Amino acid sequence: MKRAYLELKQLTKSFGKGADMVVAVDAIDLEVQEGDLVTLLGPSGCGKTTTLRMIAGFHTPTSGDVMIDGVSVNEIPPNKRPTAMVFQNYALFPHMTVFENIAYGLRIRRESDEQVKEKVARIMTLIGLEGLADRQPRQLSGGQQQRVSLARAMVMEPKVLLFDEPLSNLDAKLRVSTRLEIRKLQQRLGITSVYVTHDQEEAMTLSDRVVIMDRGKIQQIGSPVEIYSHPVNRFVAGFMGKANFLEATVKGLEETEIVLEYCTKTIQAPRWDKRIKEGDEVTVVVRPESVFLEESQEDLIEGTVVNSVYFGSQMLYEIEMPDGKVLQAEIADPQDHPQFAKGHTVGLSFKSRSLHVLAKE
Amino acid sequence: MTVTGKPTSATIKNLEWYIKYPIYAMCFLFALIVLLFYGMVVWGSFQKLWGVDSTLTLRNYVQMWKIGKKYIKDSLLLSAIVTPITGILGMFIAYLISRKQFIGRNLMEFSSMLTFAVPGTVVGIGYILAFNNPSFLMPVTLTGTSIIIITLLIFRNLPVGIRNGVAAIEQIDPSIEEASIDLGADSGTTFRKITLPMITPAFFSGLANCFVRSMTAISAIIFVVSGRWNFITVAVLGFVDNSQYAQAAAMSLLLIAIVVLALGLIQLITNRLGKGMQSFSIIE
Repeated sequence: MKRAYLELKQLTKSFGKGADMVVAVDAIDLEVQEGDLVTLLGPSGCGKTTTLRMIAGFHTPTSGDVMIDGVSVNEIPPNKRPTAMVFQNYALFPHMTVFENIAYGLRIRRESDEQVKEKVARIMTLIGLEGLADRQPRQLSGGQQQRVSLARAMVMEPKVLLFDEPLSNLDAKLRVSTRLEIRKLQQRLGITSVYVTHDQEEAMTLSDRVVIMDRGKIQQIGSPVEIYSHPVNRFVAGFMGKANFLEATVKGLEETEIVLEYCTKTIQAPRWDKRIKEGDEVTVVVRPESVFLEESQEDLIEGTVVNSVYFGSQMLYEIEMPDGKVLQAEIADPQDHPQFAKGHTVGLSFKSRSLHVLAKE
Repeated sequence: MTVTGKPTSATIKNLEWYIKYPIYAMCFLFALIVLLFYGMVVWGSFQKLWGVDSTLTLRNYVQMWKIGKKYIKDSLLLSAIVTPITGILGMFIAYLISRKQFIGRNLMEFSSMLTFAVPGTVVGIGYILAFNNPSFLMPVTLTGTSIIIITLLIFRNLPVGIRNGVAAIEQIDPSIEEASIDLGADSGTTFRKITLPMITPAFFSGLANCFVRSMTAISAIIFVVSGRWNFITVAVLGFVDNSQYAQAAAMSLLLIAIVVLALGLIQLITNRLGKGMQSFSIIE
């Protein structure tokens, strides 16, 4: 049975004093279940790294609590906390071999030589570092260095494993393969993990749950699917994936449907937010992949193609809408669809089920 | 920050000849002048009577040795005591200044740099005034002891060591030390096992610097030497006072030889230790 293993309660951190005071993390509440990987996602300066550093103990909270396994760790210094961190720039000890790097924490803990050797060998096999024990960090590739950093943290068998944008220094391809490996390892070992990133794709593919942060506050917590399909506000919708925002008026409400008027045309969308009433001004979140394009027809919304970019697997159109806004549309398998040139007038329709209606903020 | 665990490389740009050669000529001229100074010292030390009788002789060295033995011994002994103390203290203070937040940190940084800004003669006079009589600060008189020379040299040389250390530490990504703390080490262990090994080159160059500066110190030292403890530099000055220029030159030459020898020795140690250290400004 899963239970809350790591809890943040009204956790707050401010820097500076008086007029210069900056609240980096503003009274956030979060529960992480045992064995889950939770991602803190947000733009730089949103407080995600500060939160992570408070869990690790490098920052002291201004107020609030960090609880691990039901116990407040606020008073415990970072070197005594049952957490281990994987750093953004690896932070390997440059004067030690790979083996010494990984063994460092165990040695500090004064484990016996045999135990250290056995544990280090086991984790090195697990992470795919066989045969590199005697290398110096500088002799390793970026990907290997990051694995050493991961091994060094994992060998400690921490209660909570912390990741501080660990993949941001790797090239794109390596980033994709490494994040899959991290996810597999984390699930296999069942380590409760908190992962900080500003890359929504990383967050989406890695996490059990995603926490979207902005300006020190949590905007939304949910599974990647929940956050992508039902964002609570424009910020979340725009940060998690690409999104177009259309301004519309509510014309009618049904049990599961909401009828909207947009530029004199009617659109239907699923009804989620029960607080939205008839006559309300709303924002409709339209994902670029939920747009259909065809030759202009009587009952379709009309738009003008202002730009088109061919990506091979898809075609990206920029379309000027009747209200003057530019909408992005991604058409998969462009070979199977008619292609429209710049200046062409097209008819637009939307995949109703994937639309999401937000109340005006 | 250059020590991040990520490889970097440096390139040397070629200069145009019309920039390169004039600068080269200017530097060469300066080097020539310096060599001339040293050449004069060497040449003078072998002359019977400088400027009057330039017959070559070794007599100056014999005389210098007779009088100067004790000066040399004192200088070497005191500098050898001062050097490691200054080196370790310097690195420790550098670590505190650049890595720790504590009350009085700015004061510590400022006061450690202070002796650097004050002329040596002022420091020397200050030491005499402070330690000539027993006071509530120092219950015994220090004037005339080795302690006063040692403390003066330590505080006179400390700023350079601290600056070296700060420069070295600030090149190291703080997350390397955080990683150590995160893995369970306290800050003492982290300093010993992580920071110190990484700043070893700076530590040894600090030692070399301190030794050389101690051996060649004159302005502050001249006020605190005594019959019991004296310094080569003071002896050289004494010879010059007595118009024994040739002996002064001979002693200077000996001092130069000792300093060069010490520098070579420390260079050797640094190279030996530095083999694993070059991983910092890594070129792959």
